[in-house]
Amino acid sequence: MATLLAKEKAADAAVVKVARSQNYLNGLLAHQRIRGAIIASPIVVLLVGFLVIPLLIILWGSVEGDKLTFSHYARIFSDETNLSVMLQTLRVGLIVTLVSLVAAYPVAYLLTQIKSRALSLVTLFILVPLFTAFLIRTYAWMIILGRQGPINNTLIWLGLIREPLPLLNTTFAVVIGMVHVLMPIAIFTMYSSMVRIDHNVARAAQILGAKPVQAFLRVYFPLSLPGVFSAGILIFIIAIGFYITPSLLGGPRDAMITQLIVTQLTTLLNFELSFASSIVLLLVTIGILFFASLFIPLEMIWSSSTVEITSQKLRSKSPFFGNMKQAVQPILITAEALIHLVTKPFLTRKARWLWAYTILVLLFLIAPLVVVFLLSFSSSLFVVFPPPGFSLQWWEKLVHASDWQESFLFSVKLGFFSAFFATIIGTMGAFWLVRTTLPIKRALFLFCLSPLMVPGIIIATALYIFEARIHLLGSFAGLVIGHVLLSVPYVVVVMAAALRGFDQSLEKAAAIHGARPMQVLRLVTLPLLKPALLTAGLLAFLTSFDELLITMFMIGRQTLTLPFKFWNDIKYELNPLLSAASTFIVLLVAVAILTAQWIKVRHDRRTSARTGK
Amino acid sequence: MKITTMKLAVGAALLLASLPAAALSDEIPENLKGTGELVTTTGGGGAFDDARMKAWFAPFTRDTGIKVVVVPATNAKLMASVKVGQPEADLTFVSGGEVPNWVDKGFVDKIDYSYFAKETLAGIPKEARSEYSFRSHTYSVVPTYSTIKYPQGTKHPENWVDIYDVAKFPGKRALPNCGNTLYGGLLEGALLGDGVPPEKLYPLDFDRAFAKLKQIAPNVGRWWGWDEGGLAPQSLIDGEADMGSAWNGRITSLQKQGAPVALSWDQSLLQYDDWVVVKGSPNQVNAAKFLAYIARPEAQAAFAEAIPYGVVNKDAYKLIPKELAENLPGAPGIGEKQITQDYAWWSKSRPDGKTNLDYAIERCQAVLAK
Repeated sequence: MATLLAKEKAADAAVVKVARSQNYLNGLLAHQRIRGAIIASPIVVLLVGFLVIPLLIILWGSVEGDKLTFSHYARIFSDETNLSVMLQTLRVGLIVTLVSLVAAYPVAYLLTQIKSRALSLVTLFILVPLFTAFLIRTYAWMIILGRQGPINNTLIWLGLIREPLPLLNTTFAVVIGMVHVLMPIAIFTMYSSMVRIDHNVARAAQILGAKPVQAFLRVYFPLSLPGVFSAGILIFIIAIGFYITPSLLGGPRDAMITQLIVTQLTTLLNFELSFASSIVLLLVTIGILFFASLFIPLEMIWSSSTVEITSQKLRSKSPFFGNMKQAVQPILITAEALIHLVTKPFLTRKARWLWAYTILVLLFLIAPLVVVFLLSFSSSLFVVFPPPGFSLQWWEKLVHASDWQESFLFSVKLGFFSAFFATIIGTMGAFWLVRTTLPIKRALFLFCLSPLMVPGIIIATALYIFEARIHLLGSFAGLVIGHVLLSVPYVVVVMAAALRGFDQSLEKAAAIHGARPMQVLRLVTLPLLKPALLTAGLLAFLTSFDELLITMFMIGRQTLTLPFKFWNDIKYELNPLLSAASTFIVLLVAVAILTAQWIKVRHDRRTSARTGK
Repeated sequence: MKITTMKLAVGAALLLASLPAAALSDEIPENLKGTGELVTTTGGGGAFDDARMKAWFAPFTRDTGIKVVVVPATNAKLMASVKVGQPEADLTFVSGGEVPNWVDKGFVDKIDYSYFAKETLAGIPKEARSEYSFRSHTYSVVPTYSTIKYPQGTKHPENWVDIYDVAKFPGKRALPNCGNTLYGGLLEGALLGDGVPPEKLYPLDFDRAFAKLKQIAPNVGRWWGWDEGGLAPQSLIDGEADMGSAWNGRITSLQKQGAPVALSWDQSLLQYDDWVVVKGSPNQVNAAKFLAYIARPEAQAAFAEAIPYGVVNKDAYKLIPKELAENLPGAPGIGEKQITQDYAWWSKSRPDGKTNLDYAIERCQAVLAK
C-alpha cells in the first residue's frame, strides 16, 4: 500500500515536473530573442566548432603559429611541380565546367518545356546516377575507358583503329569522369532558374518577327544567363576540389591540388606545407565566389528558390552583361544568321532533335550503371568486358560476403545518425533564418551553406587535425559530426524553401485558440512540413551514404563504410563482386528516389485538394 | 607418448598439406592467450592479404582469442596518425629499407621478445630479429607478362632490359608509381633496363634512372601503388598492360586461378618486409603475442604455402614441400638470378638531410608530373 502511495506521489511529481519544465520552456519561447538564440545555437555551434575553428587551426599552422613564416607559401609558388599541379587543377576545372554547361543546357531547356509525367521520368534518369556513389561510377568508367573496354573494342571492331587508344590514365578520362558526376548538378541548377522564365516572352518575339534563333539568342538566352553562370560557378568550385576521380582515372600527370594536399600530409609528413596548400585552395575558392557575387546573389548558386530570402531583385541585367552584349553585337548578328541557316530544317520539327540529344545525354549518364549491371552477372573470375557468359556467382558471393554486409550496415547506421542530427540541426537553423528579423540575414544564410563552399578535402584534413587534438579522432561521434557538417546545408536549403511557402497564419490561429508554442510546433507546424522533412532527411542520408573523403581520414579503427570499402577494393583487387555490390546499391538508391517522389506527389495532391488550387 | 621430431615434422607436413592453416592448438603456449584486439594494416588486398588471413590472422584469433582487425591505412597515413597522436594501427609491416626512417622519426616502440619460445627464437637468424623490427617475409618484384600477348612458346620479355625495350617488345607496361619506388623496385628496374650491370647498380645513378623513366612513361598503361599490388597483375588480365613488374606471390596465386599471367626470375629483386610496433599504440602486448605466434615454424610454413614468399624461421623449411621451397624468392637456382635490394643505401642520408628514398620519391613525382 505504502509503495503504491509512493508510486502515485512520484507520478504526480513527475507530472508537475513536466508541466513546470513545459511552462518554463514555453515562457522562454515566448521571448523572441531568446527563442532565436535557442533555435540558432545548434547550427552555430556546429559550424563554428567544427568548421571555423579547424580552419583557423590550419591557417595558424600554415604560418607555423606565432612564427608567422610564409616560407611554406613561398615554396608552393616557387616549386615547379606544385605550380604545375595548381595550373592543371584550374585547367581541368575550367574544361569540366565548360563541357558540363554546354552539354547540360539543352537538357535543362527541354525540362522546362515538358509536361509533368515526362519530366519526372527524365529527372529519375538524371537523379539515379546523381545519387549513385561516386566510386561506383568511377569504377565503371575505369572499365569503359580501358584498353579492352567497350569503347576501344567497338572502335577496333568497326575497323576505325588498329591499336587500342590510351583513354585511361589521361586527362580525357578525368574530364569524362568528372563531367559525368557534375553534369546532373548542372542540369538541375540551370533548370531551377530557367523554369521561371516565361517561354511566352520568346514566343512573343517570334510573333514580332524574330527568327527562332534570334528569339532564343536575344530573349531567352540572356534571361537564362544568371542560371548558367551560377551553375558554372558551382561546378567549378566543386571540380577544383575533386580527389577521387583524378586519382583513379588520371595518370601521374593529372595530379590535382587535392592529391598534393594529401601527399604532403601523409607521404611527406609535411603538415605545414599541406596546410598552406589547403589555404591556397580555399582562397582560390573564396576568390571565385567573391567574383560571382558581383553578378548574382550567391545563395542562388545552391538554391534558386532561396533567392527570395533577400528582398533583393535578381540582377539579371547587371552592367557587366549589358556591356558584353554591346561589344559582341556584330558577331552576334553574323552568328545568328549562320545558325539560322543551318538549323532551320531542324527547328521546324517540334523539338525532336532536342529530345534526341537529351536521350543521348541520358544514355551517357546511365551507361556506367548498365556496364556495372552487366558485369555483375559475369561468369569470369576477373573484370573483363563484355562478360564471357552469364552466372550468378557474384550475387551468391555477395550474399555470403560478411565484410560487405558489415560495411553496408555500418553505412546505414552512420547515415541514419547523421541524417537524424542534420535534419534537426538544419531545420532549426532554417526556422531561425527564415523567421529572424536580423539585418544580416543573407550573410547568415551563406554562413549556413559554408560547408558546401569549402572543398571536401580541406574539411577532411582540418577536421582530422582538430579531432585528433580533442581526442575524437576515430570515434563514431567524430565521424557523425563530419557527416552532419556536410549534410546540414542541404537540410537548410530544403527546409528554408518549405518554410517560406508556409502559411504562418495557421500558427497564429492555433496560438489564438490557446496552443502553447511547443504545441503549435508539434500539432501544426511539423505535420505540415512533414514531406519537406522527409526530403531533407533523405538528402542528408544520401550525402552521408556517399561520403568518402571525411570518412577516409576519420574512420580510425572502425568498420569500413561502403564507399570506403569500394575505394579499397577498386585499389586493391578489381573483381566483379564490386559490380554486384554496386548494382545492389543503385537499385536501393532508385527505390529511395521513387519513394521520395511518391511522397511529394501524394502530399501535393492532398494539399492541392484542400486548398482547391 | 614419445614421438621423434622427424615424425612430428612429417605429421605436421601431412597435416599442413591437408589443412594449410591448421596449427595444433594444444601446442600453443599458454602465455600467448589473451583478450581484446590487435589492429594491423592491410597488405593491399588480394592474394597477399588472403594469405595472411588464412595462415596467420585467423589461426591466431582461433588459438589465442585475440581478434585481429585489419584497417586499410597505408603506412603513409599511419605515420600521419602517429604524428597527430592517435595511431590507426598497433602493428604494421614496412620495407627493410624504411625501418631506419621509422626508427629515426620515433614512430616505433621496441619489440618485446619475452613471449617468444626459446626453440622458436633458435630458428630465427639474428639479423631478422632486431630491437625495433622483426622480419616478416622475403619477396621479389619480378618481370612479368601477359600470356595472352605472349603465349607459351613465343618469345616473351625475360628481364628488365626487355621490359624497357619498346622496340623489341611493343605494348604497354605496368610499373610501380612514385610512392612505390622502394617496394616496387622502380629505379633498380629502370637502371637494369638501361643496361647497368647488377654489380654496378648501387649507388643508384638518379639522373640516368629518371631519364630512363621519362623515356618509358608514354608506354606505361598503369602505375601501381604500394597498396595496389593487385593492380599490376589485374592490368595484365584486363589488357591495360602487356608486361611490367609485379610481386611474385601475386602472379603465382593468380596463375593458380587460371589467369593469363607469367613471371620471370631473371634480374628480379630480392626484398624483405619487417614488422614494426607502432609507437603509443594501445595493444602492444597483443602485438608481441602475435609476433611470437607467427614466428613458430608451423605458422611460417603455412604462410609460405598460402603465398610463395620466403619466411624467416629456418625450421619452417623442414615443413615446406620441396617443390614449393625451390620456387621461393632466394631459393637455390633462383637466388643466383636475383639482385638483393640495398636497404642500407636507400636509408642513407644525403647532404641536404633527406634520405635517398625521400629524395627519390619527391624527384619522381616532379619528373612524372610534367
